[in-house]
Amino acid sequence: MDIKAYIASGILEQYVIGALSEKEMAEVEQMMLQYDEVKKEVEAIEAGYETLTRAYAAKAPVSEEEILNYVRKTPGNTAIPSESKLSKWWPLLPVFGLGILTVSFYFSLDQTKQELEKANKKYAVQNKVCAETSRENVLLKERLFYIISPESRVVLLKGTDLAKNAYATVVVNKDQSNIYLASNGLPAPPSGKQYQLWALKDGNPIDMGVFDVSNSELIEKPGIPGAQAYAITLEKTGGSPKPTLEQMYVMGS
Amino acid sequence: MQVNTEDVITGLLISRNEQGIRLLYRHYADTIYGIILRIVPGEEEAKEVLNDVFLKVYDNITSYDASKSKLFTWMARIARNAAIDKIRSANYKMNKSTQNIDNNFEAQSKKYEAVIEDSGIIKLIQALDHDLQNIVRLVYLQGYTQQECADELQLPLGTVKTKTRRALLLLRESLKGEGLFLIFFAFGMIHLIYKMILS
Repeated sequence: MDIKAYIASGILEQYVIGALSEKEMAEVEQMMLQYDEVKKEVEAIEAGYETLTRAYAAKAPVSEEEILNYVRKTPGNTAIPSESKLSKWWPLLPVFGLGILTVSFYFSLDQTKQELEKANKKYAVQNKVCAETSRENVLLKERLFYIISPESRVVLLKGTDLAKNAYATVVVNKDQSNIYLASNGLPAPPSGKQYQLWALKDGNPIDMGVFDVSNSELIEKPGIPGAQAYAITLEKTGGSPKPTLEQMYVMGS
Repeated sequence: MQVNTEDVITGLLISRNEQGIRLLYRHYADTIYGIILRIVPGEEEAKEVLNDVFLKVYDNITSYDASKSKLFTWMARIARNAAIDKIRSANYKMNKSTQNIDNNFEAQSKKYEAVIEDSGIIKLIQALDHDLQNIVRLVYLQGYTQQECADELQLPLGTVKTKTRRALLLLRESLKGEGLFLIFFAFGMIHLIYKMILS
């Protein structure tokens, strides 16, 4: 067979562009297997044809994704592995990680804020308690210094026959303008009754008011200047204008 | 020139990897669309054909034989035949006067001027004589058979056959110089692509 004539016939160009019938194509392929020259010529024509068609390329009106979707959505092609789809997303992993981190930071920040608010409230309460305690402390110191002052006098009121074990203490300052009464040594009064403090001045009892027994608080009352002695009687609630002498529990001067 | 790129794409398509379609699109979509558009003038219909070509390539990749042709050639054949089927099914008439074909082609060339990539080739074609230019356009670009081309141009079939060959030979001669560089370039690219896929 005259290979040069065969090549020159133009059939190989027809073969490359796909203008031959199945039968003719098979014949050309047979020739390619048989003659290396034919095979080489076909390859050269392919390269030329590709260059030529590339020169007449036109911008495809569909995007890469659209083509992919078209191929994917066609029945029977559902088997495309999603592997590459995943690999397309993995570069975004740090972004997702950062997102999750941000959200978790946001929530922990929120929680921290709430805790701080709680702590602040608690702190305010403690502060108030502390201020009160300080104030009380100052007051107690003042009283203490008042009591231990050499200018103050401590009057011990001793139990009468009515209540031998009862006692009370009255602290009087120098000018007798103010007194403190410690009532923790008195028995609890029966219901409907109240203790009443009296000052004795020149033999006359002067009402200093009723009080409730307390084991922890000193009772502060205005003093009676010139009083020589003090006594406590049990009276009806609210007190009496004159002391009930039979009900005198303690007395001292 | 992209034989090795083609091997990679073929491998991916056979293993049903979507990346194969992506690479196919990036390398050939515009050229294949150019082939279709020269045969099917309606953009909407040409687009349908383009979609179908990608689907056919994906579905029939196992029947592609790399020892017989380049992947591009195989795909271009599918495109050409799908485009021809399209215009036949749409009752397009192939039998128009030579004048009409020329006008039609001129109109199309103008229409797609903006998207043409390689004006160097276009210049080479324009330097060919009138008959050769028409043959290149009809046979290589518009999907005419040699017989149809002979009828259109009112030339003997034998003349069309020899001129079909000569036209491409002339273009090939002009392009020889570029070959070696492209081979080196292609090797570099393949190496890169392999690394990307394997990593």
